Amino acid sequence: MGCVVSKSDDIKNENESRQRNQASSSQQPSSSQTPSKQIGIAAKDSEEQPQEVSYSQMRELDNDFFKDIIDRTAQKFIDVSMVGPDGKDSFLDREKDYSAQIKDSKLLKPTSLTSLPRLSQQCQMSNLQNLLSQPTTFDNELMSKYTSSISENLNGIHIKECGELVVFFGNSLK
Amino acid sequence: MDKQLADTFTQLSQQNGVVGYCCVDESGLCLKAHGNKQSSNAGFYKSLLDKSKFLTQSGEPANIVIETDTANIFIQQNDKITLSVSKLP
Repeated sequence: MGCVVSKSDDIKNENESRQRNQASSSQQPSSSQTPSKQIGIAAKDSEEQPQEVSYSQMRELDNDFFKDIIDRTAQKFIDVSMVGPDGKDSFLDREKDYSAQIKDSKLLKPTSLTSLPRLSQQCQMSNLQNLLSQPTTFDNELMSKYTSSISENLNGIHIKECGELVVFFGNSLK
Repeated sequence: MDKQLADTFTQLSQQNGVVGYCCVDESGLCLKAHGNKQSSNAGFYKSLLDKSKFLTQSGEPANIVIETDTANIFIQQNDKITLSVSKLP
């Protein structure tokens, strides 16, 4: 009876030791062996496992996006209700300022409207005095002499007749 | 014949104080011109002398003087031509 009990315990101990050895042997080569990785290529684990986003997170992202849009538009627009009483007061003040400016300003008439026309630079004082002092007399001697001579010379010119300046196309067409 | 006419115009331009002239025919066309803007005023000279006939009882054209700052323009009309001479004052 005593011999049988000691044998079963020994068998159990041996089995446990074998299992331990197997576990240690399976772990040692994985830790000792370094896996080879190609350069420039991401790990397959990250590619195979996509990022999972929950429904609540999606809603939060959408809300943030729309809030940004609303804030940007609010900066550009002007709230009309805020302008009401203050805006009216400022408008009235501006109107008073403008009316005061208009009253204070004085319009001056340009001298070109009332002044006499300017004389040309070519006109000299001596010529001006001559013009204003006495009227110019007609040089009858000069004019009558050359008028008569020119008319006499024109009478001496004769123009020859060269016939009709008409070209007939009827004969050429036939 | 043309030479005599040209000589006459040359003598006219060589007169003392003459700076330009313009000769206009019966129709108001420019026959000969010398000086600044003389040819472009040919029709005006002719028309001006024709209008001056209404001022006189005899119907003869008047002798006209146009005074400017730089020169005086004398205009006279004949049976055939109208002559204008621009002369220094």
